Amino acid sequence: MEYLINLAILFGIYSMLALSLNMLIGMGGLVSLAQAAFYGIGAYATAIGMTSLGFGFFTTIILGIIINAVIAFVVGKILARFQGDYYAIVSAGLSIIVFSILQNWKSVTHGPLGIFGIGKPEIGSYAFYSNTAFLGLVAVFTVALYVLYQWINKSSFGRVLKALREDEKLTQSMGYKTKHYKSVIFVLSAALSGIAGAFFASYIAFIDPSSFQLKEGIFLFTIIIVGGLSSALGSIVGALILISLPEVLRFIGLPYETAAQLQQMIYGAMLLLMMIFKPQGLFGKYRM
Amino acid sequence: MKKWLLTLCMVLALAACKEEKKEETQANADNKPVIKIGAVLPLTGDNSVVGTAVKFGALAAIEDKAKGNLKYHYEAVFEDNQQQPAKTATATNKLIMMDKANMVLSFTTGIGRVVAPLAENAKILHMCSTLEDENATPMGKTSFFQGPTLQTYRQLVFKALQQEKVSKLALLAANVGVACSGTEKLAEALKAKGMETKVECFNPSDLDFRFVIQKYQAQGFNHFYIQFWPPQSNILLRQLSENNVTPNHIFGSGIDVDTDTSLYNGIHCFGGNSGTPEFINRLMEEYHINNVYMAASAYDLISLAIDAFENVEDVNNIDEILAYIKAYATRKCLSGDCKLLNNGFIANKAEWRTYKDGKPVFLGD
Repeated sequence: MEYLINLAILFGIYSMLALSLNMLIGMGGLVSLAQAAFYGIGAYATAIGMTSLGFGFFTTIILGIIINAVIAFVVGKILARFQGDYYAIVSAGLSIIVFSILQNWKSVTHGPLGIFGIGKPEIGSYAFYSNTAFLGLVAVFTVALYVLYQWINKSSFGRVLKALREDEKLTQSMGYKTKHYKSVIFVLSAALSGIAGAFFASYIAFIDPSSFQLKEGIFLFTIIIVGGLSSALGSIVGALILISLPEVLRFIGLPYETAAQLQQMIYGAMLLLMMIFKPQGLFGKYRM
Repeated sequence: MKKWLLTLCMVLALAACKEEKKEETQANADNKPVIKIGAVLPLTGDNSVVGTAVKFGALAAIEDKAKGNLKYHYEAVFEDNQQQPAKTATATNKLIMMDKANMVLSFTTGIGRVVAPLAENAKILHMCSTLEDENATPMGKTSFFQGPTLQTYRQLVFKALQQEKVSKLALLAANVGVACSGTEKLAEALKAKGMETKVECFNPSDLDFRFVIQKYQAQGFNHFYIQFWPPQSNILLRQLSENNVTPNHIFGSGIDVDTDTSLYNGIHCFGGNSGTPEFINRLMEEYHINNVYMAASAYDLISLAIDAFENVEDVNNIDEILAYIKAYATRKCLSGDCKLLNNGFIANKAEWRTYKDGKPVFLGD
């Protein structure tokens, strides 16, 4: 049971990330590979805030949200000038820059040695030391993000985003400042992924830049593609599948000499089959 | 769709229920109770060349110990973490909670720091085969890290450089784990001894070092110290050769891990515990592996753990196990004595060797 609780915590963290990314890609049609960068900034804000500055966990969440929002606001202004593939390439560039900073700004991030001894959240005298309590907290934030996603999806802001996704020029011709909408959803998505980063840092208690590379951004992108674009439920189910599938494969009794390699091959093959038979994802409402 | 999701949930639930009740031990075919040795290693991905070596070092130790008359049957359970902290956490939890492993073996300081608190919470032994960060151990009360200390390493490198009459040295390292910070500290120590040094660290994806080599050559640096793992180390060696840097002007830390040992002919190689010549040959012949450093540490750590399990009354009593391990000051490791430091770090010696016709030649320790 304890093992499942641990998996559920990771599932919750990745659900938050997938929801925040699906706001950007699913609703806005803005293919971003920079989510791992904002996830990392949120994690480092918590790690540095708790270990070096003596802040509480919730203060560091706010800190991470603010830092991400400021960076995303500045970068979003640049990104808003791009569309489609170019948007993805520029966002990938941001991911590489942030990774390099985390890797090389050693006086702050400790470089590849990482930061360890990150504490657990506390509210007053109550500390979320047990995994069950921690899972409860993760679940509260995941549900809150789910509700926020649905609220934005049904709002007039969400409708403009979807119109922008379908045809940016047409949306502009109707009088909407699409650059403004693209910036706002980018800032919101970045800020929310910082929350997931904070939970990740506190849960693992150790972070280093290897967890926030471009390939992590691609993994998050895979989650929402498998789950389905523009669907909150798809984000959750995508995270469930991609987090639990490799774990399930640990139990299928492969010969130990080649188990790790075979698990990777089976995992890849299952993703391939899923994309062949469900190219729009499991709950997708929009296909790229 | 719903059926598919339901199946996934059922598989997970079944996996969770498996062995829910903690059994002290299981019985094997010989009717000996089983001790499970869990290992979280990079068996796929960028660092799999080293992770696989650690795996075989652990297996060799279990195999050798099994030749004696043991109270328990030792069974290894390997889990892949691709050297990622998140995957390490899930793999370690699986080993502890599902497999009921009696101990966990990990590799490298960063990964050891993820495993240490999990092992401590579960009150089981954790051992980590690492490079040279003796400050890593305070992270876990049930953890032991083994490797040569930074100081031992520095002294040996300085001895080699002095012997080779090197006055100017360019140090190139991968910006991974303790490689870069360790190299920077080494450069500072060499500078303090009057040597002119320059350090440059590279991202793990960097593969072209020619410009940097030429830059330092233009500044009069003809000796290079490198700290990389394959494939970067092999590429760098080739590029140094292309730029006419002779092998005896190259000093490498932990680089000689490729099975094609002719790559290292004439190069000064430094590493930790590399084991006896028999151990080196055995790894090459049985497992086709030349990465002896990490394999030898894993061998030592698993041998020590097995000794502890065999000699305590209750294998589930972590205090007894810790007391047994902490009782020794010096222990026979594969290539000489290992010292247990006050902070729980097991310091093994550093070694200096070169290769002639692909065969290792010991130069000093």
